[in-house]
This record gives sequence, structure tokens and C-alpha cells, in this order.
Amino acid sequence: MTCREVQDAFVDLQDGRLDAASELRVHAHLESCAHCREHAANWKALLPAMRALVPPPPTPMRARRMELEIERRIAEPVSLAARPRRRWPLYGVPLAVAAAAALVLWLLPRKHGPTVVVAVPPPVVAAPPAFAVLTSTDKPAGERLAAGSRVVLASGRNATLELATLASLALVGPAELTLAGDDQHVTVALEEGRLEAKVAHRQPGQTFVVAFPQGRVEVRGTRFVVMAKPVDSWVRVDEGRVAVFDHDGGEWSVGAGETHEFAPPPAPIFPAVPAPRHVCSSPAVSCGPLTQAVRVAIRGGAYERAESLIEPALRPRPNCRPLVCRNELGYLRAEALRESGRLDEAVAAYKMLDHRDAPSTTRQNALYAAAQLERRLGNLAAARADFDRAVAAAPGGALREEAMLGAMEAAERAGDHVGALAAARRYLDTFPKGIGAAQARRIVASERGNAP
Amino acid sequence: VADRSPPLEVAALVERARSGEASAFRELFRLHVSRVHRIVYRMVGASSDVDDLVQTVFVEGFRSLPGFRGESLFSTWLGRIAVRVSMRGKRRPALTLIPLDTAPQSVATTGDPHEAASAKEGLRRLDALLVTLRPKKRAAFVLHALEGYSLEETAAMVGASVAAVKVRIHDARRELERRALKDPYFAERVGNKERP
Repeated sequence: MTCREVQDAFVDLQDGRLDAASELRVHAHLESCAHCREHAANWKALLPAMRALVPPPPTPMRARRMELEIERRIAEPVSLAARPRRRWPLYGVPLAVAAAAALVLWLLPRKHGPTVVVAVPPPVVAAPPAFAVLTSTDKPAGERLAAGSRVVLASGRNATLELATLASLALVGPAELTLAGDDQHVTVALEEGRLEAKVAHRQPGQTFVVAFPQGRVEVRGTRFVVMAKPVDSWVRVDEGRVAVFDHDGGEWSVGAGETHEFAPPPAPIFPAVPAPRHVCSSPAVSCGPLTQAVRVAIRGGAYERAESLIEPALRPRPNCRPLVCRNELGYLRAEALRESGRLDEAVAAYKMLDHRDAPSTTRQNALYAAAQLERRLGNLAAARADFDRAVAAAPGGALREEAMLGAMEAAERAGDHVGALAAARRYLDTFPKGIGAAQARRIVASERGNAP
Repeated sequence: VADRSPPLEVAALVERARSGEASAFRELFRLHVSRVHRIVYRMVGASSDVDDLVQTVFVEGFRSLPGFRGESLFSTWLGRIAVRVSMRGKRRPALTLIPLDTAPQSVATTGDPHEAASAKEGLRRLDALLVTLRPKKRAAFVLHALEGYSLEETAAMVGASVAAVKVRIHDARRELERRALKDPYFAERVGNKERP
């Protein structure tokens, strides 16, 4: 055994990870080598000394804040500037192919593949290989569909599509969709109608996309519902998490129990005439460095600097894509105002985040923070209303229980017995063993005692 | 030595998190936050960015959970992200050590004020030693020597071969030993072997 091999084994020797034979060889070498013996003695003292210098884990309060921040960031659309660098650039190839396929489908939706019309005389569908099997009241035995097939469903009719790639789609008429892709990359172009999807987990590199006029949904394995309409389309996720992209490039992560509503498109979806091009003349904003700088300023107590960084970025940007970090900046602005003691302005800033483009968890966090401040300021009725809105903003959110408790306490402190009783009953129905269960039972019991 | 959570429990949580269950995300966070925090702290030192980097580790981890194939332990996989995020975080600004009087946290101690002061000083000196190492050597040394991961786990976490990791640890150990023996705090623990 060489000196280098022996010295490389110091850590494993101390951690008892060497097998008996290796340990024997190391000790034999140490007995005969003063140089290695000296190093071994040094590390026998240094290693435990260094290991004992453990930074303390985050306090429960800091960990809780981190947890909330993580949930908020997961719910936020992914900022390109903040995306991690991919180690393997070839990941882009299958994604680019899928994107190109989706684009072609988007541009040529009515010239692509054969069409299956349910409830009107059915045309002959191109032969296998079967991509999907369509089952409806007209076709109880099922009909094999190839990639590129088009399905048109009359009003009041239902159909089920079982895809070979382990996905099940329930379609409610009136609806029109086109199937495209292959085993690896599936695209369902839903022009109109309601589609409920149950998609088996995709392997890395596989994609499953539902594209529709106002956006698209990318999933890796989940259950969700898409309602595609000329305006006010929406996506509701029942299980898992999906990436939702709207028509102007905005990206959202929507989790179980959440619904994403799409803003009306600025131009026709499948435009016959190209939409006029507008030029964005506002200066470019790099979200990653900006939000980082704002956070550093807030942590350092430089609240005015934080505001001066945020304010230009939140100005209206005509003809520009909305900033992906606009909600995060709005939240940071509210935090800076709160930290600087401008509580009324902070409340207003938090409430500005309660709009439908903001992820539901961000809305819940903001409304909860606003309600807490309002309670501190003595505005109990407003606090109660905002706690209630925080509950409604994200029924599966992390602050649901705290917001329900807040509503109950605010109503009780305001002397609103009816409101407190209703809030207590709602809390007990949802969290019968929650941290506020005893308090809720006390409110219910006292109201029973007051009853004639 | 690295503390480990029961793998079966973690595997079940990972499966639930994969299907988007928020409570599973939270449980995974609570199980792993201390270890991730320790790795990030050891990598970037007493910086005010530690909490942000820890959050980034979990955000990136949870977002890429569908890509986790269970070929390694979840903690190893998350540790790999922690190393990558820390190294990326270090690349942006030059590393600056915050004086511990203003640092947001102090070292974990048993409550004895003298011991606390000594440990605080020791942590500052350990940071000062580690900061002299190049990031790859620092990552390998932190994971293997300080956090107690095996060479194979360390190699998986830093994305290098076991042979490369051995070389990095060897170099790091030599550099650190030389500097530690010149540092009064560590020299005292080795037995006043301070060298000229």
C-alpha cells in the first residue's frame, strides 16, 4: 500500500468503512511509516474538530418561511433567467421536435389528418397503426384511430379516447380535436370542448401536450380537465402538477386542486390574417438578478432601494410580454413596505396580488399577510374578509388552516358571534383535530349555551 | 456522518410528491432541510444567501421530481442538486464572509457561553479554511470528510468518477492540513503542533 492510498483512506478508516483486510493493511503501513503516522494523527484530531463545527439548522420560523417561499416559487411561472443550466444540451432536441410538431399542428389544424365525426355519418378512418381507440354511443365497440386523426363530437354527445401511450381522454361535445405525435410525444389539439384527461406517468424525454386556442398544457402524469372555449378557457388539475402556457408565452405551474383561467386572446387563435405586430419599446428586465437584488436590499434594511428597483419593472409595458416575475416583485414590494412599517400601503400592495393571473398559492400568501396586518391594525372586519378570501384562493394551499383560524379569531374579537360560530363550524368540519379545534369547540359550545 | 431517513418512508413520500401531493412535498422538505442547509452552508460559508440557495435547491428538486428515477437515494439526488446550486450560487458574486457578529445564525452549541464563543470562532475559522479551496475540491471534501458520504455517494453527488473525487479529496486534505496547523484554533486541537 502506498502512502497516498493510506492517506486517502483516513476518512473511511475513522468512519469504520474499511473492510477488515484493508484496515489491517493501513495499520501495518502506519506502523512502519512515520510520515503517514503523523498525518493520521493530525486528521484523527482535525476531522472530529471540524465535524463538530456544525452550523445550526434553520429555526422552525425560518424553515416555515422557507417552506412557504418554496411553495410560492414552485407555483410561480419559471423565469428563464433563473432556470438551471442544462448539463446535457441534447435534452432540447426532443423538446424542439415536440414544439415544432405542436406549431405545425397549430398553424394547420384543419388540413391535418382524417376526420372522425361522431353523430353524423362517419367517414372511413385511415388504417392502423392504431394511435388511439375511440369509444362512443355510436361506436360502442371502439374505433381505431391513427395519428393525425380528427375527432368532431356533436353537442350533447360524449366519447372516450384510449391512447396507446397510456392516457385516457373523456370528451364532452360539442368538441373538436386532432391527434398527433407518436409513442414518445403526444399532442392533442383541442379546438373546442371539454376534455378530461388521465395521463400515466411519462418517462424523461416523453411529452404529453394538450394544445388549445388560448394556450397549452404539458404534463408528465396526472389528471386534469381542460375547457376550451373562444374566451374564458380554463384548466383544472385534479391530481399531480401541469405546466400551462398561455398564448403570449406566459408559463404557469398548476397543482392539484388549482384552476388556471386564461385571459382572452388578443388575436384570433388560428388567424386567417396575421395579427399586426406591435413593438415592445420598454427596456428589457432580467428577472433573476432583479429579484435577487431586491431580496438583498430588503434583508439589508434598504427598503427604499428595494422599492426603487421594483417600481420601474412594474410600470405598464405596452406591447411587451408580461414579466414572468411580476407577481414575485409585487410580493416583494409588499414585504418591503411591511418591513419599513408602512403597513397600510403594505396591505394594499398585498391585496393587489389578488388577481386571477397570480398563482393561487401566491394569492393565498398575499391575502393571508394582508389579513394579519389588518388584524394588527384593528381592522377586524377587513381582516376576517381577507382571511376568508385567502381560504378560497387556494383550497389546498399551505395556509388554509391558518387562514380559517384567522377568520374565526377575527370574527370572535370583533364580537361577530354569528360569523365566529360559522367560522368555527367550518374549521371543525375541515380540521376536526387541528390546532384550533379546542378553540372552535369552545365557540360552538358557548353559542349553544347562549341559545334560548 | 450523514444522517439518513428510512429509505422506504422517503420513497413513499417521493411517490406521493410525484403525483403532486402538497403534504408530501412539505414532509420531504422537513426531512431534508437540515442536511441541505448544512451542505449549502459548508459550500458558500456564512453568507446571507444561504436561505435563498436552500430554497432554490428544493424548488429545483421538486420541479425535476418527475425525472428522479430512484436509481440513487433521494437524499443523494437532492445533495447533488444542493452542490450544483451552491456552486452556481458561488459563481455569481465573489464569496464574502460576513462577520459573525452580524451573521444571521451562530453555531449549534449546548448553551455554555464559553463553548459557544469558541465554537463560533471555530466555525468562522473553518469557513476561512474551506473558502481557500477551489469549489470542486471543496465540494468533494465537504461531502466525504465533513458530511460523511462514501466516495461512491460523493462521486454521484458531484457528478464525477470515484477516481476524480479521490484526487480532489486528497488535494483538499493536503491544503487544509497545512493551513489548519498554522491556525491557532485547529493547531490547539491537534496538540499545539503549530508550525512556523
